[in-house]
Order: sequence, then C-alpha cells, then structure tokens
Amino acid sequence: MTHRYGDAKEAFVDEIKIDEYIELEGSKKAYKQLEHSLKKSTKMVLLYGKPGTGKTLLLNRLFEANKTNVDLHFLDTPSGTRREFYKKLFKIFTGREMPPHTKVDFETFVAFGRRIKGERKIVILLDEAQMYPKEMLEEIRILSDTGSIKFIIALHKTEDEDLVAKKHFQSRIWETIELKNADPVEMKAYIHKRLLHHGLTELAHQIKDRQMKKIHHWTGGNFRECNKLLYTVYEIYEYYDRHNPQKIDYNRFSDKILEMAAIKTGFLHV
Amino acid sequence: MYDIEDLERRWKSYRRKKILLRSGIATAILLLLALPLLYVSLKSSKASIESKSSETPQSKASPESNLSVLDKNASKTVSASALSPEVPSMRETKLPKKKPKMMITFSDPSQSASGNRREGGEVQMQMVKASNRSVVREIEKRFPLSRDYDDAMYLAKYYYGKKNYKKAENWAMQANTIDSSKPESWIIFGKSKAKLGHRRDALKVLQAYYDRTGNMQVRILIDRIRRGKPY
Repeated sequence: MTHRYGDAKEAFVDEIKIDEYIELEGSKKAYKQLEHSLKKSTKMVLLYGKPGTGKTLLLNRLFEANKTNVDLHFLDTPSGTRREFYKKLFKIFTGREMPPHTKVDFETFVAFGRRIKGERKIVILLDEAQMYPKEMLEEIRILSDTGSIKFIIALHKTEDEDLVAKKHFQSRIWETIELKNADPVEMKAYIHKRLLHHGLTELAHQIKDRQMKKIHHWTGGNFRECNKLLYTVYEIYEYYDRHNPQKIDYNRFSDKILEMAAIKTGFLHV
Repeated sequence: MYDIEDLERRWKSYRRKKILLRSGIATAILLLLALPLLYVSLKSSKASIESKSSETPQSKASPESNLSVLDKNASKTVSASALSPEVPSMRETKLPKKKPKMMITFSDPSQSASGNRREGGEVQMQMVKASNRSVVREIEKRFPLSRDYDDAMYLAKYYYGKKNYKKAENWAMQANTIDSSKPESWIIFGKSKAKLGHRRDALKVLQAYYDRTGNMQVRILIDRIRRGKPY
C-alpha cells in the first residue's frame, strides 16, 4: 500500500517514454497521416497543436518506428545559432561530425541537396520549429525546394497569434496535421491507460466519471496539464499515506484531494 | 509536499466559498420559483376577499345556521358517545384514513429497519456491480479499436474473478495475440482452461511456454495444477 501512490505519481511524470506511448484515436489518426506522408513526395508536412497535445511524443514515435527503413533524422531541440544548425545538417548529410574550424556556407548544403536528388530522400523531423529564427526557417524552405530533403515540422499553435511558420511556408506545405486536445472520452481513456500501464488497475477504476469530467474541464483536455494535475493528486495521496493515513479512504478517489491538487497546480483559485 | 497545511487551509476556504455560492444560487432559484406562486396566491386571496364582500347578508347568515345545526349534531354524537362503545371505534376508523401512510413506515421498526438495511445493501451492491460492469462494457467496446494488451488483460482478470472462465480464456487469448511474450496472459489462459476442466490442455500450453522462457511463475502454476492444489 505504501508505494502504490508513488507508482501512480510516476505514471504521470511528464516525460517522453516511447514504450509508454498511449494510443488514442486522435493521435492514432495523426500518426497514420504522418507515416503515410513519409512515403509521399511532399516537401513539407506541418504538425501543429497547442502545447501538451503530444507533438513531440508523436515525432519520437515516428522516428523510432521508421529510422531503420527511412533516411530519417530527428532534430528534437532547436538550434539557437546558424552554425549549430549547420553542424546538425552536416552530420545528417555526411554521417560525420563537422570538423572543428571548418566553415560551411548554406550554398554548399543546397548544392548537396540538388546533387543527391534521386539518390537519397532525406526526411528531417524538426521539433519546436516556432523557436527557430525567421532566417533559418527561410533556409529550411530553400533546402526543401531541392526536392531531396523533406521536413516534418512540429510547432505550437497559440491562442492569440497566427501560425507564423504556417504563413511562412504556405506555398511549400503540402500537408497539415493538427493535434487537438483530448475530448472527455479520450482523456478518460488516457488516464485509465496510464494507470493500467503501471499495473494500477484498482486506482484507475476508483476515478468516477464526474471526477473525470472535472479533470477534463480544468485541464481543457491537455495531456501535459492532466499529467501535472494527477501527479499532484498522487503526491498528496502519498504524503497522507506516509504521514496521516487516517485522512485517506483507500477505496475511493477523493474529491477533496483532487480539489487540493487543482488549487496547488493553479486550476482552481481561492 | 511541505505545504500541505497551507493547502488544506486554502481548500477549506475554497469549499466554504463554494458552499456559499451554491446556497446563494439555490436561494435565488427558490425565490424565482416562489415569486409566481406568491403572485398567484395573492391574486386568489384578493379575489376571494372581493367575492366575500359582494356576498349578501342572507348568504352570510346561512353558514351560521348551518353551523348551529352541525353543533347540535355534534353535541348529540358526543352525548351518545358517552354511552355507546361504538363511538371510539368510529373515531379509530376516521383516523386510519390518515394513519396508514405513517403506519407503514413505523408499524414494526425492527423488521422494517432490517428490511431497509437489506434493501439498501442490495442497492449498493448493484451499484458497485453496475459501475464495474460499465467499465468492463466500455473497455470491451473500445478494444476492437485500441487492441490494447492491458485492456485485454483487465477483462481476462475481471472475468476470471467472476468465475466466467470461458470469457477469461478468450480475453487472455486476445491479450496473448497482442503480446505473447508476457507471462500474465499465459497464466490466466492456463488457469481458465484448467478451471474449465481441460487440465491436460492447460498443462500442455503452460509447459510449452515454460520450455521457451523458463518463467518460474508458470513453473509453480504447472506444479499446482498437476498436484491438484489450489491456484
């Protein structure tokens, strides 16, 4: 009993674990679209959605599943400088680290892209594309024009601003895939599956539908927010379990603790 | 989690506000509902006052005469009641018109209490079962799309627990088709098969898995089934 809340807490740690990928209807559809687009002769695919909708996880999964049969590369962290970006491109194109004190200009990459056309079809997965400077996005566009390098770009869609990159790449993007927040049914399935993955069947079924609705309402169906809330729920449970067990009913999911977690994580305001 | 006391304090304040808000809303709704009723009752009382004032003095007199007649009758019955033993029984016959509803609930406290408890218990149990069933139904519904190992195993364990070994066997088989490397599905499959009376088949399947993996849990289960021990 002592460790089960600790395990439940671990189930909602917000980190990328490919083997813990939770397949939901929305993400399953997006994944199939992405996988299909790998085979097509598109120059660019845009994957967008609000933060926490699972873009990075989806790219990771796509990379892990296809890296052996496609010339696939994953740039999961954005490059702050042009040199850093060129270093990564150099490694992708040549398979070697860029020698120190070597200077490579952008034209060399474009020329390389044109030369390998028909021989190689490189696919680059670019995460957090909204963090790339405009000039670098322009270079990505030019590289994709060579016809031998395809970019799958993931970026955030924010409430107020339009998609800068979407506008930027408007003429090149052949396919756009939007990842949406989960609906209540998907959110329930997500929470269930997370707990079931950790062998916590009993805890999974303690959460009632009305509590699931509350969780969905507070988190807006966002997986990252849901992880944050439920991590805190089980953190509070774990604390009571160790220090004040009479405060917990082990057979039901407490509204009080759920509300306390929502207050702590800022979903409820006092 | 060092701020639990502060968090509890904040939760209590949140709860208080919530209760206040809810009771405020409830009062507002009640008032909204009561207003038309109040209006109607005021209107009807006004109308009755008006109709009373328009009545003739003759019609006023007649109820009084009626009353006196009634009074006379009453005094007669009272006087008669002092002598006749039938009168109390009449009073009793008048009472049951109101009483039965009350008497049903209070007629035999011990019996009805236990009856209620039993009924309540049944209802509760049904609710628990229903919620479990709804979870099971939901998982069964989503399984063709999810094809999730954990879902199939959950159902296998659920049906095994319910002693529905045929279904447990089927779900364990489903889980096994998704991931045959995990011992759990083999164990439930073997156990269900054995419980269904197919001990030899169960041992054959489990032995094959054991030969391949050397899993000790499976080894123990094989021994238990062979020796006829509980598993």
